[in-house]
Amino acid sequence: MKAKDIAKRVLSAAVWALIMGGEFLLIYKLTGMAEQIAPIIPEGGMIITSLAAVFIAFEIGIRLLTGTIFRYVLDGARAVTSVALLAYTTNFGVLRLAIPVEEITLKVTVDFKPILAAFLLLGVVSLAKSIIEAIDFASKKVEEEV
Amino acid sequence: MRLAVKVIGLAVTVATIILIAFLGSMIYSLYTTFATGEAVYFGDVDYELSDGSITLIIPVYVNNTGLYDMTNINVTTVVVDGRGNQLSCATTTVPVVKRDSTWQGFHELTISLSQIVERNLTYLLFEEADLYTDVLMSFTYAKAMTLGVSVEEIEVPWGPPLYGLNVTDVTLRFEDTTPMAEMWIYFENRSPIDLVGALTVELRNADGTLVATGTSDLNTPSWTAWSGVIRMPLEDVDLITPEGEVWLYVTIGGSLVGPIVIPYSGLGW
Repeated sequence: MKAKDIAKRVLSAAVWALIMGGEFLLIYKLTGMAEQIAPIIPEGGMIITSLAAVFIAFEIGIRLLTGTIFRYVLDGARAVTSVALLAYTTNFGVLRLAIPVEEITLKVTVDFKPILAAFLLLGVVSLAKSIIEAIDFASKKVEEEV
Repeated sequence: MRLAVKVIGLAVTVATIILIAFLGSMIYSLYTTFATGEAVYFGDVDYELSDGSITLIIPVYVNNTGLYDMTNINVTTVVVDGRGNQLSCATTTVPVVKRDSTWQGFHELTISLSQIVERNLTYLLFEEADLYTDVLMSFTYAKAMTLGVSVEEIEVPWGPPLYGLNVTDVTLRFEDTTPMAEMWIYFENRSPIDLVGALTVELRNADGTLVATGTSDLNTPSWTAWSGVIRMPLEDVDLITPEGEVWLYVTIGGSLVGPIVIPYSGLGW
């Protein structure tokens, strides 16, 4: 592989990493959103940062390994990991918060299981798509060799 | 195969964008609705006395200015006394408040005075106390997210309707030739309701036998005192014993509350 191609892939990886989570992480960290969310949702920072980090890491890997079967393996792994992480960090769709307001403590419960289920469904479809793509890629490689 | 994969990929991308846009609009809508501070609020409490129970009538207003409907709105309050005894539990449910619409109704919380006596919590009739209220409110927004907010142990002062109830000067005397028992009764109505009804007194001897009975009308507005002498004719003076009990019944709001038992001693001619 030529140095020009490698540079292209690295640049592509950087741009897509920025699009697929980097820009959100920058907005979250630089605009003070993190400080505003932290007192209300203590786990919020961990959820957002870990999800963005997973997306960025996988996107870089996928872009760098374009043209190989590992691209599809990473694509499928990203679907599974992001869904598992989302489910785990959000307590499977039920968040419980305690917000102190003057002398009382408001106990807030947010149940968004239907939304999480929709994300899980999309994750499963993405995984299926990655598997089909990997099979397609492998079969084409075999055909080329023959 | 390639086309099928592309279609699936496109469908996933479009569905993800729609889902994220829906989530974003829902959070924004929820925030703007509640940022007004008037999305859900409670009015001034009104009190009603009926069937021997004090009912707190709390007006509830829901103003849905958001983009989505609020469904299954549920307001639940539980009142317990300082000893952990549950005095009341009430739930108000609103099936739906559509977007750009309002709803107003009442949340009614009933504390039964009869049950206070039955469950031996009569101290609440005579002594000031603090009650603790748990409030839970929940609703489903955009049919996708259920939000619940609860506040526990809100301290609410309790005003007893028969504060400082005192029965003194239980005496026997003849009125003309009729043997009479009489006693002086005093209490303050520190509850937010007006007591209108009757006070019935039973004099019972050491064996628990009814010796005499008398009744007096009650009309005691909130935060006023009542005192009076109850006179009761004696049918059989031989039943009188030096020790015994005074049983009090209060008829309020059309219901009889009692007996409130107060012992006496040293009664004689």
